[in-house]
Amino acid sequence: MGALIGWFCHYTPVEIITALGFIPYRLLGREGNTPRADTYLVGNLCPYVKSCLETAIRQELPPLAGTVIARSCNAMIHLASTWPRYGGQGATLVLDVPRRLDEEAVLYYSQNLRRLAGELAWLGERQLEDSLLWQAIDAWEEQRSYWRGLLAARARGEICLSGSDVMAWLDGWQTCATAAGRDKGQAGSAAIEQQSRPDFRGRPRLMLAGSILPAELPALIEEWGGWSVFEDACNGRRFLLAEVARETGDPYLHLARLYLGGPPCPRMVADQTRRQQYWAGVVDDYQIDGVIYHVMKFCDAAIYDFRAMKDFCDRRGLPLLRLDGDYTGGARGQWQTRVEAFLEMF
Amino acid sequence: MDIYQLIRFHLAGPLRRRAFKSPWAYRLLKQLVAAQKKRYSWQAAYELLLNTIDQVAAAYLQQGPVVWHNVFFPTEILYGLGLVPFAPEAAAAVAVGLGVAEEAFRVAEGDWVSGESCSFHRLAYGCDRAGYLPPPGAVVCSSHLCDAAPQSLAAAAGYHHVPFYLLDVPHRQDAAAINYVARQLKSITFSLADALGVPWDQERFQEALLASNTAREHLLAVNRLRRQRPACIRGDEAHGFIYLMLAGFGSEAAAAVYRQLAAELEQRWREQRRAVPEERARLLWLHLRPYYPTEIFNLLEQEAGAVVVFEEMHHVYWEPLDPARPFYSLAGKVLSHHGLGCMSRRIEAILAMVDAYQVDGVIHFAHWGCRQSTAGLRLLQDALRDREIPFLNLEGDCVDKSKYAPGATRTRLEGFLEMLRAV
Repeated sequence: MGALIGWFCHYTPVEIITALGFIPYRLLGREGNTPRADTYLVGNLCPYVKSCLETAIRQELPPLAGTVIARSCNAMIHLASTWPRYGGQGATLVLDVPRRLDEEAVLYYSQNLRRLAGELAWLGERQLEDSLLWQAIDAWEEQRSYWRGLLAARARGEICLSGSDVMAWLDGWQTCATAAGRDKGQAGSAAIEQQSRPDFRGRPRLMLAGSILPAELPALIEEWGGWSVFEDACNGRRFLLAEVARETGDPYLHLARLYLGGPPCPRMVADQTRRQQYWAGVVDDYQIDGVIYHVMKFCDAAIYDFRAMKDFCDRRGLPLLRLDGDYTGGARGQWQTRVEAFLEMF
Repeated sequence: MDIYQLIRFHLAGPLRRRAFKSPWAYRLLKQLVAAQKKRYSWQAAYELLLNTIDQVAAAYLQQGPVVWHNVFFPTEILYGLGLVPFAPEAAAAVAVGLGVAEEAFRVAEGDWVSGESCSFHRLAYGCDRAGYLPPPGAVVCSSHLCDAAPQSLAAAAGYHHVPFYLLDVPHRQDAAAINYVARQLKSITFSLADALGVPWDQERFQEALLASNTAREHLLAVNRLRRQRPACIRGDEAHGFIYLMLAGFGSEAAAAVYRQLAAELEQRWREQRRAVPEERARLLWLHLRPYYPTEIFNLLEQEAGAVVVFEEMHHVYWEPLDPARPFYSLAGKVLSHHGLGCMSRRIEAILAMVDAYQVDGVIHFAHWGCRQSTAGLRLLQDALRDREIPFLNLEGDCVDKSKYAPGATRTRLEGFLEMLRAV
């Protein structure tokens, strides 16, 4: 069994980690407050980042050979500075991710990916052949393609899947500590897919959006009478990227295009038109009746992305609800009142 | 009467928005300032004010294509293209003085720009939506150091239906990063020229880079003079010149103001005119200061004789620009910022300032919502503790005076001053 490499942001190329014989392990934080992380990072910083640091300080993580931190936002930048000193085990590798999608950015990102591969190869004391990387790219694409197919079938009404199940499976898939476990998780979800699921048909079909969604949110919304049919989040649909034409040649260029060209995160500020087009596609394809936007506290990208979502919903005549959260799982009461009032609109 | 009281007195109430667009208002304002010339303790500050009024007038009267920028974007490009730069973050600080902040905050919060975000951007957002800012012809923004700026400025570009150009700045400083930034700068420059119908003038562009270099040289001279004991300028006074670091490089005016300031400092040093009667401690100030009246500097400098001898914002972190390779050298400047990348870089720069300016203590003003400056403070605190340098993290807000707690601030400052005396 290979050693685990932790990662955070969905722009992290897990293919490189896999190709080098490591197992990518997504760090999703923990439920509850973050008193120990609060002593190292200020109060008004991303609660997800602090939650991840808290798990590391409390030694709640499996043994990690290293961690890849994509410096995708200010909170991640500070985590990259803090992690090696106060939290993380093993090596800390940082990755710069462009905030735009054009050929210059793709080229630059591909150079960064090649550098990351070199650093990880050094850590694993082995060389990374392009052929191995292509194999990993194909293997990951196969799995992502499966998930995308599953979600598309849900959109077409061919299968009835709750958002809470989808999020739970995705979380499990990203944090499987072994490759075999990940395959098993996928197989398990396929089996669950065949089982009789609660029939949510007739309920308002909702898109959940945000930077990263608390795991419990889709389940709660479904408990209160909604149906989460699309999760636009770093730990939701965005992680599944989008299909791109298989290139031959430089695998790093392919990966750069794959990741930067995927569903855009709110941080991709130069790419806002594409983000709006992405929402429009989701609303049409998934027959969305309304949107619930989870604004992670102190996430600058989410604060302004919500504004853009509001304009989008106003134009489309879609009801929109804003929920604020701090990733601790402690806002249930407040959310319930607001979600129930929102669902009464339908 | 300070300049803001003066403006509020003459441009009060509903006339305010209209006054911004009236050439008469600026003429009147300049005359009022000129009439008080002798009351300015620094002629450089007087010149800076007149130049700033001219720049603001150029933006409001649309004397050229107005381009909004964030305070970390290399303004040499905008001056080099003959555009009128306008920094909404700097305008937010002015809005506090003009007494429109309360209204602007209300507008922003009513439009869902929540109180968790940086108040500079919230205030600028509110001022814009309330009609206080001059409409832009284009918006440019760099992505480094601040997550709120690109978001807020992209939203502004969308609101005004004008092009938005993002300068994506990585955190490494290697050749690949310099090339990546340089290519973007070149592309942004020519896209701006195209979009705004500005003819490309290589000579003018190079002049802007030369002006930037001249300003840099004079600022270095100012900084050298500020290293000497006793201090000849109070931090309270020196803070006023930070505006040039954020919006002035590339203009002749910035070079002139720094030249004047260096000359005045030199003269005061020769005459041994001290900043305070008895210099009891020397302080380094990190980040910005509140832009509304507080007793912070009065307490530190006038009452306790603890002079702020340097501000982090005045640190010259970049090498001279090469006019023959403008985009490459501007990329180098952008990537040289000590706040970019891992925290150890900023710590190293701050420790170098501690040594160079022989400071006895460090105060960081933790502006609410500024994750860049505040998030990694624990590492800085540890580094300063290792060197046994007293450190105070003073929490507050640069532009939202409702967050200012005078009693608590005084208590914390007095505690810090006691610690300084004990060292």
